[in-house]
Amino acid sequence: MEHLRQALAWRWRQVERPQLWLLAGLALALLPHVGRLPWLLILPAVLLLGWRLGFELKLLRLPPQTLRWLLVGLALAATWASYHTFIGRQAGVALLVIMLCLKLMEMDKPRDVAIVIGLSYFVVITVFLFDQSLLMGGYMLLVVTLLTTALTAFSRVSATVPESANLRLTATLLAQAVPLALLLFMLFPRIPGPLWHLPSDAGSAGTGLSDTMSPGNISRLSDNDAVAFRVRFAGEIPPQDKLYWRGLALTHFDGRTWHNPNEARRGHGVSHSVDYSAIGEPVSYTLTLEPHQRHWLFALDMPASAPLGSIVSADGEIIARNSVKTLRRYTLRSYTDYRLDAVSAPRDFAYLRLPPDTAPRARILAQQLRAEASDDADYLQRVLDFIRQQPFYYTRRPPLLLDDPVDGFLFDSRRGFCEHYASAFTVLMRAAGLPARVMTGYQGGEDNPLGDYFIVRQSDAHAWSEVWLRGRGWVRVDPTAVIPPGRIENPADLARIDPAYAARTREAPDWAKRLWRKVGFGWDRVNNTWNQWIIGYDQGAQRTFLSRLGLENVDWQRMVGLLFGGLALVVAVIALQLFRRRPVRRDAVGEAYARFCRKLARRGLPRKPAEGAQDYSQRVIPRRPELAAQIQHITLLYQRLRYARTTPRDGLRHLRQAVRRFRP
Amino acid sequence: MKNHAKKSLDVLVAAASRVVLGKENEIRLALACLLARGHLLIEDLPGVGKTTLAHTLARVLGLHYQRIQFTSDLLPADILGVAVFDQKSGHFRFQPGPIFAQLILADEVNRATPKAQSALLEAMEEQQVSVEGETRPLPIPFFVIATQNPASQIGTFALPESQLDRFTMRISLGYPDLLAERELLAGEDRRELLQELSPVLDGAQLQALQAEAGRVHAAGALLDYLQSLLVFSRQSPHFAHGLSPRAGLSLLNSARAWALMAGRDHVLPEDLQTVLPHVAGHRLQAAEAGGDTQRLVALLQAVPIP
Repeated sequence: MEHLRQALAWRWRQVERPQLWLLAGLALALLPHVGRLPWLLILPAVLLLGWRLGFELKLLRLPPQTLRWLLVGLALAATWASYHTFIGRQAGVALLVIMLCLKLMEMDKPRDVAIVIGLSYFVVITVFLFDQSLLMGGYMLLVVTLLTTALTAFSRVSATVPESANLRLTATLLAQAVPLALLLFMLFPRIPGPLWHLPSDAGSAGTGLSDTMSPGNISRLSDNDAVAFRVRFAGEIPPQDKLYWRGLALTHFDGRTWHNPNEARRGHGVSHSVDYSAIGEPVSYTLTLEPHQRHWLFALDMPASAPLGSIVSADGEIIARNSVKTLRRYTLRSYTDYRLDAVSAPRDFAYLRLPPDTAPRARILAQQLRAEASDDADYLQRVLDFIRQQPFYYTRRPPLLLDDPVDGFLFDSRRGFCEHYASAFTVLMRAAGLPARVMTGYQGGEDNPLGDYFIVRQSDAHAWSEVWLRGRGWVRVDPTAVIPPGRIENPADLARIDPAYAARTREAPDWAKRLWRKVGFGWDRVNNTWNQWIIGYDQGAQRTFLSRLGLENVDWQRMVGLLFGGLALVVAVIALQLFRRRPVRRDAVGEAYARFCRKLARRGLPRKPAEGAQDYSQRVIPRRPELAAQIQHITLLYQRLRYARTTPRDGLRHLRQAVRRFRP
Repeated sequence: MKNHAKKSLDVLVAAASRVVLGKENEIRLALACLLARGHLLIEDLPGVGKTTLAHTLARVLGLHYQRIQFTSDLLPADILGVAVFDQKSGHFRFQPGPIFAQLILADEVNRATPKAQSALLEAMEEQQVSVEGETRPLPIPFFVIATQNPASQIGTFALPESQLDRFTMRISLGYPDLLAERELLAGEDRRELLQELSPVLDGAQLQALQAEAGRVHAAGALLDYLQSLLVFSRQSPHFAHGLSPRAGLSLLNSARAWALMAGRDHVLPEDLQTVLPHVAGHRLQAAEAGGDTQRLVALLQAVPIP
């Protein structure tokens, strides 16, 4: 065992360091792809990396050419088997990764090394096609550092350079690259919309609300802390019970699932105007939506208009032309107090339609209650009272309802999440002849005290109903909100149901929890800044930024001009630095003596580069005999410090002092 | 203390200067070469005092002195010695040649054939000679002063560069100045003066001084300077070839001896610059035809001190 360990240690010392830097960099670059690519490709990639490491350890031999060709064929087959294509984000990245790892099997010439390092940088870029978060950015910076160190290590002529020198050179290179990267980032002309259309991958739905609602698919989100979107309010933040973020209206019910077949969902229709009279002041806010791969946008109930590139549908949803694949930011105005002006009932019978034979008991209940009620509004109140008075419970783990979800929930289990309540309530409305629809979206959100903005998480996903009442138009009704707090199973959900309760409990948590919350908010703020300024830096932000610099209306030609001008300037500054660094004196002794020489040079007595200190002093003293003592003192100290075996105590300090006091 | 060394060396130089007039700097260089355990090549016209200098040094240092006049019919055995058959004992007996002395004056070394030259040069390098399959060490200290006559090149075998590299220094004496020449003409006979000279040092003291010269400190900054000189000679297009590592060692050791003679325990760049023309001059060759080596030395002396 000990023998094996020693043998391995010996081999480890034999490995050339540049190869290690490269293998480490490549392995770390591939790491984020591990979860994304199929095992059929990841496993061979890891094996090939291991093979190369074994070769470097002189344990394995590289495969012969015929075997290499066979491996290439197998890799192509595996990619095809996994994706049935070579094009597209996933398949393309998979092909790149596996071929890069195969290239390791024939990496022996400098040209091969250059190719492998270059492609490894490209792998780093592909990671950002999937994840653009701050953490991934920092991680990839580490990977780029490793790869660049490999590059510097490979390009060294002599192998005896210590690794720290390679790292230092890499740090210098990266530091020099920073101003260039900043310039390119800020000034490279942005095109509205994505640069090219990335073929989307099938079955890679983002987290978040889906375009259908069936029992269970919102409660699934209740534990999901992922951020859905962040909001920055221009003025005051509306109270929690007004924070209903409209998403999608679901009009069609098949007995279990709600959906909306409207083609406008694709964002190609005409914008509908929603007639309503606003009450009070509008709320202005900027919303930054995390990519959810869908077409709809979220807006505070009720948005005054749709942002650019989107339309308002007949159901008052905001539908974007392109699905949200990257972070999307838009500014909106909404009226939280409004009354819809529509006096005529919606002509579309879809709002009344119920699938036949569903929820027979609910229909009977609806007819009973409607018969007792004086009008539609009274009926609505009676249904809400029914929910409040009967033992309905709010739970994250509702029992599975198999035959008829609506009847089963209303009369048997009486335990459900918001989607159960919204669904059952809407069915009861329709059964009594009131036009109604289900709205999905988010409710509430959390104020980040460390940054002046609001966080809405997936766990804030919510569903409620909208009912059309004569004379009042569409009215928002949240049947979940009427459940008394005593019947809410999870205390955390109390805040969701009753904002006042949330306000009361927020003061209680102990210091550790408070600190943890604070850290969480701080981290979210950093992320928000990253999103706003780095990811969300689009054409508009670029214009704003440039106009802040006093450059108004910069067209793309001028922008390119500015960009290249700036790049040339940065390169010139770095080049100048490099040229001036030639006669650099890094040691303190030489620095002090150089200062002494500069002082004399200013008096017309410069030291020649090849002139020794002694010769210099002997040349200068006859010209300035009054300085003889000082010059001799400084020269002697300098010679002692620089050339003698033992240096005088505090010699450097004395030399500096003497040079400081030297005034020719 | 180094001042002790400086004092005795100053006395030495003063004593030698009374015989070899007006050549104090050359005496110092020759002495530095000796202290650096090197060998000296004097290139000059006949009659400027080469022999006198060598003889004087031998006298003041108390060294056993031998002179070998190199001629075209000189054989290696004439230098190294031969095995003679002793009829009384019936054995071969080695008859040591003139090389077995502490200070050798190899006069007009370029007159001899390469074969004889290399016998001397090998002895210089190895500090020993091999005759009849037997290796015999040479005395310690062992110091060769070779002279070369640059004027008459007819019938000579100029030392090739590889051989020149074996000499630590090359100096030339030149004509004496007016004052020195007047004293020479008016003064006593040099031969008599030489006989009157008494040794200032003995062999042990000289060896101690040699050891001390070897201990003179060369700081990292100084080695940087030396290396930049070497690198410059190897990279500059004006040089046919750069300075060899042996040249670098010779430069350093000579500069050490020079520093010791100046009473210092460390080498300064000035020490290197002083010995540079004499240590590097004969090893350099201009890349262009007809280029003189003095210009190359000037180029080297213009290399910045780091």
